[in-house]
Amino acid sequence: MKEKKNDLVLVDTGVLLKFLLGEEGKETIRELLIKIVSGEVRGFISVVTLSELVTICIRRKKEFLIPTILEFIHQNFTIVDTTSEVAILSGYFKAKYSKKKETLSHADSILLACGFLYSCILLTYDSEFDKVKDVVIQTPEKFLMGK
Amino acid sequence: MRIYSVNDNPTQTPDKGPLIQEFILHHAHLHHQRRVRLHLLDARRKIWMRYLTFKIQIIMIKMRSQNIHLQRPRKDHITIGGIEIRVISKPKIGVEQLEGILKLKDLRKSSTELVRDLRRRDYEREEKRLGFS
Repeated sequence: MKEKKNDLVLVDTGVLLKFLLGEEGKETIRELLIKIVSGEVRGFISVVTLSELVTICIRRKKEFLIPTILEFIHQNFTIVDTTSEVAILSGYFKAKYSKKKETLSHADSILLACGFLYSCILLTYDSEFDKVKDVVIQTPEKFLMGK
Repeated sequence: MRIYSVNDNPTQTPDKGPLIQEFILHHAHLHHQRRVRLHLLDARRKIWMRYLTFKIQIIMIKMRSQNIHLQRPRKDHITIGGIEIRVISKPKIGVEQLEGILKLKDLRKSSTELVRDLRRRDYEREEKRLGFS
């Protein structure tokens, strides 16, 4: 069966983290992850997210959980490397969206570039992405409502 | 299911062989277990893959001699002191296993704040490095 464009999602760090921390709204993320695990939705993850998850695990003194989390991601997600195409495009996005009062970190711009190149919906709770027009940005709740 | 460590480089710790044998026999025979987990040493990189656990099945137990040696006849197949062990697969991790896995009692920051803090600090350093601030 051919994949529909709206079946491809790039999951931001905060979304996974909400589930890992067991925060309010984790049920939505669980539903999303179940769809990704079953193959109904194809999940992408940037290497930036891997790096951030490792940092947060270590800072919270939970480094022993890193292999479990990474193994789950490897088993169920497509990991998007920071290739030269991603790097160049991320530079373009960083320049475009980093204005006087607006900020966009390299991590954010790499995520945008990955989403753009792979035609993914970027699933995030981060309001920093509100100004972005080049990539479809949605919260997991909004994405699942449309499914 | 028990987890124990095996050094697959016999030249480094030859004296551990009997211990490993005893351990495997203990689980395979006395407890009638067919599945155990191993922590393996990555001999090529000379580092312990402490977090890489394999789900294995003991397919044959043959006490060949007192000379303990470890070898890898095939990619997913190792022999430890005459005991052949086959790697079945890495354990599949379910969604439910991850729910709340990083939860702490003294949670001060939300997931969004944690990520934003991480990126904001990076952003400030990036701008400084690039000469924009």
